[in-house]
Amino acid sequence: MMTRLSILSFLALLAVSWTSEAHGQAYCSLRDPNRIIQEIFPSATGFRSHLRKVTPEHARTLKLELPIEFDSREFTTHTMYAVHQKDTLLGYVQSRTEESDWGLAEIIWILDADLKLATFRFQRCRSRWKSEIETGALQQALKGLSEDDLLELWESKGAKGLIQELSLPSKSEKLVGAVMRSGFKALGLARVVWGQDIASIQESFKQRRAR
Amino acid sequence: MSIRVHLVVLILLGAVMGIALGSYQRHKGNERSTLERSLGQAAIGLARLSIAEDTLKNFITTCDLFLAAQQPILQPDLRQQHAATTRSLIILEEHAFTSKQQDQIEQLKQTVNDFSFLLDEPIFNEQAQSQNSITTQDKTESPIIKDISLENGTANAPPSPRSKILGNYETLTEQTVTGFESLRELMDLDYQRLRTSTLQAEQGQFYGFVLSTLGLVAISIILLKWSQKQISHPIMALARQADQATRDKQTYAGIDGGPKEIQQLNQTLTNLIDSLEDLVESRTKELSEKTENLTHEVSRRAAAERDLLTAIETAESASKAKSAFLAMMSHEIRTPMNGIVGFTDLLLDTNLNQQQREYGETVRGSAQNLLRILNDILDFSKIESGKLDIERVPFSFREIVEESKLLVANTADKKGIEVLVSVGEKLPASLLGDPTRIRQILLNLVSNAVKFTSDGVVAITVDAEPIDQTPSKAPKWIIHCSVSDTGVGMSHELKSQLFNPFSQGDVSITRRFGGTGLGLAICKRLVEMMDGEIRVESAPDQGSEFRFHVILEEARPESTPALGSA
Repeated sequence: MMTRLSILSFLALLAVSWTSEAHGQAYCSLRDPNRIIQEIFPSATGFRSHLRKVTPEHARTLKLELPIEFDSREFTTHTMYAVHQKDTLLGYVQSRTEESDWGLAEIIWILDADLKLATFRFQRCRSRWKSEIETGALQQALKGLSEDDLLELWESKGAKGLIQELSLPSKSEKLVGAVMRSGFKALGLARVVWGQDIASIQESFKQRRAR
Repeated sequence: MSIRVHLVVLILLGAVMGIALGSYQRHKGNERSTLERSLGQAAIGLARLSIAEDTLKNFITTCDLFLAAQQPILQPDLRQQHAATTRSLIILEEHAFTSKQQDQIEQLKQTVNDFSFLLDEPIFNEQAQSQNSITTQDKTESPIIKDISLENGTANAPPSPRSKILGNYETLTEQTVTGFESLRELMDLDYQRLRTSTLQAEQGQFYGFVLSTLGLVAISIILLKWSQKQISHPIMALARQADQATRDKQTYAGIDGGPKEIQQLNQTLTNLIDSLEDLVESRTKELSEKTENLTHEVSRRAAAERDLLTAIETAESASKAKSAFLAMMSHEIRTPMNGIVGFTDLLLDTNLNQQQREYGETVRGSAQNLLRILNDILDFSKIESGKLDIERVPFSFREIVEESKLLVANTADKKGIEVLVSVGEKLPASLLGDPTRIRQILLNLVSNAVKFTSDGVVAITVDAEPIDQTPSKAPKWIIHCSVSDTGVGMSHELKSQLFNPFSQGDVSITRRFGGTGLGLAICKRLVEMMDGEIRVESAPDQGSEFRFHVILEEARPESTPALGSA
């Protein structure tokens, strides 16, 4: 029974990965961007969505720099939202999907204007440790970390070290790992995939403020 | 109380204790088995729960991927996975062992069943048309940039139907996950409770066994002590009393109390000792009497023995005196007898008429007979008085045989008897011994054979057998000699008296054949003096055979045989 189920699941995943390139816009995106962005940035007046395709080339580049692996499902179109208040850039929003307890966990990452981690929240997470991870010490520990800072933290602690140091539930290792992996991807993809967009956004808002 | 009752009580107590302990252990064992069975079911239930969880996780993951990618082609797989999840819950329900678990599983089944309605929703069955334009642009590798203003109140717009269904999906998923986790907690809790109970039951059974064993040992010791007091101690006291009475030669006092059997044994022992004492007294009396009689008998026999010894000494002394007297007298008589024979011979050589000659020959014959008798008496007397010595000179046995044959040849011819001689080749030419006595023996036997044979044959057979051939010593031989005849023979009674002195069969023989009856007695004594033995085989009218042997040393070459030294 289990073998049959596993085969079916594998076939399903293969099919998804084969078709996701054509239909994957919603794979890593906010379900209700307007509402969510307004919740995160109550003072925001608008946002600009930037759709870019993540390719195996991007994955190979990032794999050399960061402790992450990409699933073939992820080689599809992803959305990054640049949120602003009038002429001021408030930050960037991404939704990253990682496999966790009970299906896929969708984590919304908010980066500040300097591309440092501001906060994260779960768009979907069915783990019983969701609340402890989302509102606890991990949130505080990640706030303000750059890509290099996050890498240093991960290499020095690891998931177990973080759980021990931050007094997180011992069985939440899988979810903490998923959060950390998605954090690396949010920062790394912002730099590699949306680097040019971010540069032009920053230039654009600089010019707006200058006017 | 008797020993039998004691033993019955002990057996009953042992049986009661055994049954009680057995029942207790059986009860504990059943309890433990039940708990172990339940624990096994709980473990199977947990395993089934893990399977159901995995199935549900696969289903949810597939749904998530499906919704993310909006791929309708996977819909049948979703149906199959949903069915698999339902089946795993049904199987899990079979292994639930509390009503609470069953209720929880029932709720889960209902929740999972609600997914089937959700799967009928269009978003699980329609292809996302709105993505086509984006997909086209995707292929250009150019970014799609879209500005959204939040100032016109779009954030407060009502959710789309798709969002609503997705919300329902998430709610349903969360309910399912929560239900599973609650069930997991419940089943874990039940499993741990059962495990603890099983461990406690195991420990309880072990401690129960240890306590039961200790109790059994304690009770056994108490019963043993009791038995010792009731049975062993009286028996030991009885044994001590008996032993002390034996050792100190005191009267057996017996014991008081104890079981019925011990009291009986005590009484029996007392009676036995009394009867033994009576028996000993009576036997002692008898023994004293017999000892006294025996002492008298010994004294009497000692006196008789002394008398006998005195009589023997007297007789021997008298016999020696008689032999000495006879020897002396025979010598004294033989001297004048030789004179008579000699002068009779001289007389017969003179001119005598017929009548004078007949008278003279009669005188000579009578004198010779008398002389022969005197010689026999003289020899026998010498032998009896120990004065006869056996010589040890070289001689030829063969020549003695021939001489003996010649001496009887005339008489044998007159009676028509043939005298045969057979000498063995082994017979040495020269032996050391007393040729006179050997000739006397052989001549006596041959003369008797001729005398008691009226017709037929007299055979003399001689053979030799070596007995000691040590090179350093002179060789020794046994000389076997036999004289057989075809004469009158003799009866068994006659044979038994034949070698006694003055015995000659019966009176009729003496009358018919003459003789003193001393010849064979002398032969026997002479043979024995030469380390030999003489025997006779005979039957009436069947002839006789006298066989004797003597042991002689072979003469060395320097020894000269004493030929004809008679």
